[in-house]
Amino acid sequence: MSAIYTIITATLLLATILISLRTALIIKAVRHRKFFIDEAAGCCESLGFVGCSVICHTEVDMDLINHLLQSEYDRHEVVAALDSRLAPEEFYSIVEHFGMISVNPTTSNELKGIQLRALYRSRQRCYKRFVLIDAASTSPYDALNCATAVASFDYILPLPRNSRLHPYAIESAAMVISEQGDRGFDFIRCTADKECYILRREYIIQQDGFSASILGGTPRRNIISTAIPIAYSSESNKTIRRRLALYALGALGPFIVAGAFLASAPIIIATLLTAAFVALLARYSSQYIGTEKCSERVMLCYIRNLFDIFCLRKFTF
Amino acid sequence: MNLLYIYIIVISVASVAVIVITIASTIAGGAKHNRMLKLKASYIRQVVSLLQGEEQYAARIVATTPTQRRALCEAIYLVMSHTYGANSVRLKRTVEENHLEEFMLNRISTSSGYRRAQWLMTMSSIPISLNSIEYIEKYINSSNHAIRIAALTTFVAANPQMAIRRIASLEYRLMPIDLAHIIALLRRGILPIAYEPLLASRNPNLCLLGITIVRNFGIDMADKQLHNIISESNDKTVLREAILTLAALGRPLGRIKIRERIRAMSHHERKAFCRHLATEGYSTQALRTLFSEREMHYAEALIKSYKRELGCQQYTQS
Repeated sequence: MSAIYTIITATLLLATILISLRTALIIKAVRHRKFFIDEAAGCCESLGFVGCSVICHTEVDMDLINHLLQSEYDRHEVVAALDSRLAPEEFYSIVEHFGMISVNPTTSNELKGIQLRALYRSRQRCYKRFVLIDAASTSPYDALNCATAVASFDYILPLPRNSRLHPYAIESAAMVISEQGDRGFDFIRCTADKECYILRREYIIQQDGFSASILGGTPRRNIISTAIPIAYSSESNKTIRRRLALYALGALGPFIVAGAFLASAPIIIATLLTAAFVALLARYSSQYIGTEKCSERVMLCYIRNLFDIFCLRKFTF
Repeated sequence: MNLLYIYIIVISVASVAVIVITIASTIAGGAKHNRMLKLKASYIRQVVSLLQGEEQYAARIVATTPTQRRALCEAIYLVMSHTYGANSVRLKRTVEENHLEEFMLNRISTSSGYRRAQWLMTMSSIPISLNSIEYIEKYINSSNHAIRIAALTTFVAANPQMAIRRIASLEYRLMPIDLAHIIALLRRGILPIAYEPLLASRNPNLCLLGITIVRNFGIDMADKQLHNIISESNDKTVLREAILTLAALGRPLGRIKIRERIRAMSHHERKAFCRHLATEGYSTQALRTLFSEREMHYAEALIKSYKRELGCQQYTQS
């Protein structure tokens, strides 16, 4: 019996320590960004000429593109891959709205099997660099490969589904990359808020493009983890709450059941206190993350981070 | 079972601590923050008037409480960091009468981490005594990146004559973002823009600073010195920065030494550099002298997909 109590206590303690460490890391990272990013002021020269291409495929609309083009960082572009045959109205309304010009769909031939129907580029003086690709929608990975094939910069940030970028996200990503100096790496894993990845272009080419296993083929020393928030979920609060309830049930349920089965009030109290502690930490760190101060989102991120320990790295889009 | 009870006690105490911290930070970010902003705005107006030469304002700027002193320090930092050639000597009387130097030193010694770094940065905007400079110097070798760069910035701002010597003696390599802080001082007119001795220096930090100055101020005349660095330097970072600076200045890159250096780069580095030059606007003719036929295929694809090339393409198609 005492072994069960020890296991439960150890699990709760471990979860508490991990979440506390995560909070400390996020706060430190946000303070770090706040201190350094002012001097960079959207200028790539202060960040070692790092260039970043944001690529997106799903739920591309005017609102998302306008949001992505808000960044003032100068070596930054947005590449959207869409299928004009599936949604012709949306596609051509984007072309018209941004005054895009059709160019020859030339790619670098670095990735195999890339077939573009058309390629549109924004006029440089009207908007920041925005590239729109018309590609057959076979799979999300193919769309991302098409976007990578026309991207100009060395680092690729695939925007996760239902996501937006935090203010100064591109500058933060460039800052993290520039701080690595001569250290080689394959990709950067951004763990705060919504998980996202910034991949080195050469690494994507080495792996023959995007796939579900693209993250698995790299040793741990070639992965850089950062707690600076880059992307956040754009889902409605209702959806986030529903998902959080599901995750919380999955995480806390076994302990409550164990407590009820053993008729042990201390187990139930300890579990509820842990949940309250996590909620309080999320409330506190949400002041540092993002503009909406949504503690549910942060809590969801904490619980996901805990589950990620047991999961294999898989790139889902 | 006992362990579980201990855990319950610990987690309860921790929860209360988090509640207290959250409430404290909410208060600090609420009404108190608004009061602070108003106070700061009022001090900013007074400091600007003082810097404009209206001496009567010097006697009027009074900060007696810690909150007022903090607001005044932040106001001075804000004004000074956005002003070119502001004479900080004019602030001396205000700083002395309100004991701002002692106040800031006290804050630097009692705080830690990024707060300390922020206070050190704030101190870079006021005239300080030799004793304070000596005290700040010890933070230049701090293990915290933010603290050491803030301390270096303050040291350089307070003692511009010793700036080059101090940067030369640094035990660590300055990053681009660190150099941006020093360039900010140059923009404020605190340091001289004497780039030639820096470019001629063998010290990588000084050389990088020189290159950054050339790039930031668009000094075309430094062409020769940059070529010398490319010919002689064995430092990978310095070499890369020198070539990128030449490219940023839009200078021709066809010299034999540059071609040799680019040929010595790894395949990935060459590709990245080729992509960089293509986005910088170099023509295919210019790139053909630097890269092999295979690498050029990539550059050509990228350049052809750019608008200015496209005009011609569309014209020939039609």
